[in-house]
Amino acid sequence: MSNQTLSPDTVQKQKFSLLSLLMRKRTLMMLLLFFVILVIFAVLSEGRSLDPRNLMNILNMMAVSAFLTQGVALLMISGKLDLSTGANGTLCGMFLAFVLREGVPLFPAILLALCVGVLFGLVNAALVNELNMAPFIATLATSLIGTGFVIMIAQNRIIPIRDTTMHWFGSHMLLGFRNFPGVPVSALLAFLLMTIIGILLHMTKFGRQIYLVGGNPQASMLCGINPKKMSYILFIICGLFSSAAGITLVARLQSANMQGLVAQRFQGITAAVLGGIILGGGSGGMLGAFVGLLVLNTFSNGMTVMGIGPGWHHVASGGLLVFALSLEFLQKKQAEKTVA
Amino acid sequence: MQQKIMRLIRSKEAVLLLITIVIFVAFTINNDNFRRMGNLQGIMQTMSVTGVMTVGMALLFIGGGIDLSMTFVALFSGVICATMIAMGIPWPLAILITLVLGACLGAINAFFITKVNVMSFIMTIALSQMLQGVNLIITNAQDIAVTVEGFRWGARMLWIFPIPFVIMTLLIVGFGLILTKTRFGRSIYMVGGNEYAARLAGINPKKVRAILYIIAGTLSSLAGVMFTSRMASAAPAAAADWQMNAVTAAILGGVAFGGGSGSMIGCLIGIAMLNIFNFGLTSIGLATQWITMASGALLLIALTMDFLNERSRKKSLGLITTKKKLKLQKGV
Amino acid sequence: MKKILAIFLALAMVFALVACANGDDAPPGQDTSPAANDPATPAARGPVVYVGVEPGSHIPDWSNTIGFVTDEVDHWAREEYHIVYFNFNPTGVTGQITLALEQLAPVWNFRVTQLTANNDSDTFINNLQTILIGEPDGIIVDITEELAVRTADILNQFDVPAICLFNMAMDFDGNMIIPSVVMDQFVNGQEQVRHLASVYRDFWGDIDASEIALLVIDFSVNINIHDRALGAMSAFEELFPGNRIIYGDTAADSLSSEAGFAVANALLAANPDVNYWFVVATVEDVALGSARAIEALGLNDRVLQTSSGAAILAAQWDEGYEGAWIANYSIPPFLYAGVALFGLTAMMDGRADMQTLWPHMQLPNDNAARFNLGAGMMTRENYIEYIGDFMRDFGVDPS
Repeated sequence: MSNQTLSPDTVQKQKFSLLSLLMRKRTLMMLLLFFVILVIFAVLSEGRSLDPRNLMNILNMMAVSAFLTQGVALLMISGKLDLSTGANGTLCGMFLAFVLREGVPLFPAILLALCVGVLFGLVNAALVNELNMAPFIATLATSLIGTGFVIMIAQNRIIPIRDTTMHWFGSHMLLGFRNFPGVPVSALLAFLLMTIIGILLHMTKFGRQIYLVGGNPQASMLCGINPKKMSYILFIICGLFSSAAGITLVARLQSANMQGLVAQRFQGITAAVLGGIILGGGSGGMLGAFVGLLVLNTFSNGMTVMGIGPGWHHVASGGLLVFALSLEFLQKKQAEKTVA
Repeated sequence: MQQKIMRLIRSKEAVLLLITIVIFVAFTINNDNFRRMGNLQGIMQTMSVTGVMTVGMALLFIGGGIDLSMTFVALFSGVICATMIAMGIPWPLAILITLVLGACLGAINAFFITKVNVMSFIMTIALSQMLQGVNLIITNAQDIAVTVEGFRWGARMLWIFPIPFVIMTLLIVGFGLILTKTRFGRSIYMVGGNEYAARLAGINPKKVRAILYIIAGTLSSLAGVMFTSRMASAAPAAAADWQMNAVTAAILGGVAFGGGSGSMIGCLIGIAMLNIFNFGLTSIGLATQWITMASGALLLIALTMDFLNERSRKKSLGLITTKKKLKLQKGV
Repeated sequence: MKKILAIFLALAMVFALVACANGDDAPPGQDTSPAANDPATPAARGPVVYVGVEPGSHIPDWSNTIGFVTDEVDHWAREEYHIVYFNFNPTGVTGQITLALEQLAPVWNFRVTQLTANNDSDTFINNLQTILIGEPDGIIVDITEELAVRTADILNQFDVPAICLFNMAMDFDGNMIIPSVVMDQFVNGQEQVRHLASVYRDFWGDIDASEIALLVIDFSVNINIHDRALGAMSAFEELFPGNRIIYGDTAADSLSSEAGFAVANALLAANPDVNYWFVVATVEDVALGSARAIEALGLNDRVLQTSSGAAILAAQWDEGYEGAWIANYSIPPFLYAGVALFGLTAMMDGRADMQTLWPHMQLPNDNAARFNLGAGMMTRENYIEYIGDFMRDFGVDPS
């Protein structure tokens, strides 16, 4: 051990193993919470929540937020934040519906919509890196401007989508058998991408670099990583994912409206934090974010199955959040007690 | 003395004030009625609710935190206050109880954020959601009307100034003094600017932040009471964007999000700028999408200005070497 | 140097915005919204069922068709029905519908569960599926425009009857796909102006009608609310040709009394040369803020305001309000809830299905009925009976 020369590679690998340990513990806790929620609602609803169609529904609910979450999670690991994901997604979806209506064929239209997402991310990155704005404020401002564009394109009307491939993407199910209707195509795509990103984070040098930039920006610079380049890449990736979320939404609804994804913009960040990704950066992973999504959506679904009205639903969701985030603290306190 | 005046003229706040005046003048040139008393009083009224919240938000920004539960703390406080008055409790007492309640809600935030180490962003959003739920449960989304005449001070004037505006101004002056003249105020700047140094200086950043969250909760509560008083009706589910306006106003007023800088005067100017801007755009009948985009653009301009300002300051201190300077140094 | 640049930037931006707004050669504050310049062509709305134009003349004679409170069916000869009331976002109006349904429940043998979609379309679709898996007997939905097609798909998949409230459930070609109980929004706006036109002399005496200006406070991003504004403007142009119309929009702010206050204050103060105002605030919450602004500006004796809704204004009158806000176009929530309930009951009983309910309310290309409720103006004189009568008509004692 003492003969090992300290090269940038070793530093990175050591940090990585520590991080993965931290992450795993938090993820396990959340997984446990997920099962507890599942069981509690199954009992309370007399088995109704375990109906295979309902389970599929939970997965369905996660599709759009899964896209949003992975994009934001990547940014958060590197220490940045993005509040414009909702406006970005809405804009891309609206733009897609618009160009489809103007007669552009499907594939180029989707590419164009994704480009809008990339552009949005680029603007965010430029504001944060060139003008030194805090990401919170910069993305707040861009979301306002993005919303303005949405209203401008929509002209207060909705834009329907008549393309049947889009309809297929929005509602078609795969892997169905007997009672289980299957998983929606969009959800499968989101989860597949999430897995790929997760692997990228853990197995590739690029992934480790993201962790380093977030966890220890000075060390990352010493190791020769260019934080600006990283920031640009991640903002653009986040923009792409927001775009994908927006496209999925309009495919599902078969139309684009001005409200769009705006109500969901905090969902991605919340799921990521639940899964162990700290705003400061440097820890957490896709698995954690996925479990965070599971927890949030299973809980919300359980409330709906039980027929609990909006008032109590809100109270319970807020309470769950606080509880889940306090778990780590409680567990630490417990560990301290046993040591002493 | 002359130096002080020169420093004032060069300061960030002076530029912001100038921009605000320019915006005001521009709108007045466009429509002379803009500067009439009725319009100004309306602007002052709408300034007050978000203004009080901005004070709380700015204090938190300076100290390095954030509170996104303000809107619903305010709405919830309005509901509680109106309910108490409807039950027969005399309105001054009702207001007092409501403010204490606001402080308690702030304390809940403070506890979870400083003690349990929950991220402030998420914690305040979670509290906000819970209050939203409680509001719905109590009121079934119906407004609660307030009868008592005495409570309607929110709509009345003190000389030519609306009473809520007077309250807001007093708060700004008061907190401005606290920030600049007291040790506590200076500790807020230190905690936000350089937490490590603050700790070395013997300040407990957690305690400072906890106090700030309690202040924010109380101020949001006050904002809600002022709103209810003006409307003579508590709206539990008003889709108002108050806290985002408070954030925008604080930023416009030069309070940096990261912490460590900003002033109450700047806040006041930021609030004025935002509201004059919005009022003006409404009175010229600008279409919705342009107003939304304009607000975003205004924010960006303010931030860009801030950036340029910072850069020029750093350059003059020799902290940034430009390419030109490098060439000179290399003797090219 | 930089500071001068910044000042120029701000100046330039403000003047650019002002130029934008005045581009149509319209004086400040006037009809500059692009949507407002559209010729008012709301989709073919179908027959309108007027109820309660005069107090006491409430439920019209509909004894010849099924799906109404007058159906000769014994509601207690069956098991209790479970109805879900599913709305997009909990607001004042949805709260009242819930209340109305809960009061109707013990009278007509059903129980109601209220659920919401938290203002998000994706959540709406998913929650709808969750709800339907739970197999309720029927569902009353508040949908927004873009959700209609998917909602109909899912309902057909699960084979649960449904009725829509507030928004017409149409496909993208404008044909109805789920029976809907709605208010004709365009008529709403028109009626408000017509009412003002018929009563203004009682308040102002015999003034010169050309001095009256109309202030419309819209929320343009919601097509239903926007239709009200269009209706109001069209009726005003018809009744007072050549008079000024000033258009305000709270969409850039929010649908709240604060926004109403700000917009009303800004526009009323911007035009002090107007002697008499009709103010049509399209939504009650906005109207409340506007009423306060009118008071603050001291214009109570030169303004007459109307809005749409019931609860807020009734509460204000209960508390002794005597200002410029004199009437509301009102369809009491009981009427909405009641009509929807009995249409739904007919479907749950199997006496009709979504395509065959209320056949005389369908246009040639429709697949479902459009029940257009028309109503009357609720004023301080009649509001207690107005609301109370509807409750009685549906079997609930309004005490």
